[in-house]
Amino acid sequence: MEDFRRKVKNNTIIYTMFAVISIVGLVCLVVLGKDGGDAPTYGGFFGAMAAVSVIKLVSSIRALHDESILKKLYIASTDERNDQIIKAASKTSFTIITLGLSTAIIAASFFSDIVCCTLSVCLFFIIVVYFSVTAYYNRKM
Amino acid sequence: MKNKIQELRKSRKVTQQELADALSVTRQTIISLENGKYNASLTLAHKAAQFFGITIEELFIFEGEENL
Repeated sequence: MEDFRRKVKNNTIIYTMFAVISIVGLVCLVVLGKDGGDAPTYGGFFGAMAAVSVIKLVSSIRALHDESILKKLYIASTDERNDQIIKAASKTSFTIITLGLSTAIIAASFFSDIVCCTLSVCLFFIIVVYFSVTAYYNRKM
Repeated sequence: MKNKIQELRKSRKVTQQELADALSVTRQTIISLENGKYNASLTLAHKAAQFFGITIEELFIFEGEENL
């Protein structure tokens, strides 16, 4: 539990940094940015980042000040069934994504070489990451 | 794998939430265990057996080569 408390404290620092960076980014965009271009996209990005960081920061601070909330958070983050669900969901998602991308590559090959190449690179990257991560955990466990 | 969690919990008048708190899991995990939808890890099985004061073999009934 003490380890988890330390983890929440560290998370608080990280969320604070993210919140500050995103708010500064948002302010800079409003003050220095010009209308049009990519400004709305970056504005949305920084706004969303600020909102998520602040929400996470508030819940972390509340947990640090209230033992029952901290315990609930601890249980939610260490529950083994949740871990199993995430693992099963990741496995299924990977299969669906690779199958979907493969189908899209075949379909794209009929009308656009550029789209076909882009999707192939994406699929290749996903497979490389998958095998790299698998190799890492093979050595680790 | 079958288990006697529900039976023992009810006989000792323990709620699902109380058991979940004692084992540091969510109530949903206890519900899934009782319904046989989820098989506990060795750590959780050990904690549950300790909670009820019995052995893992008494709490969980292994029914052959279901996951082998």
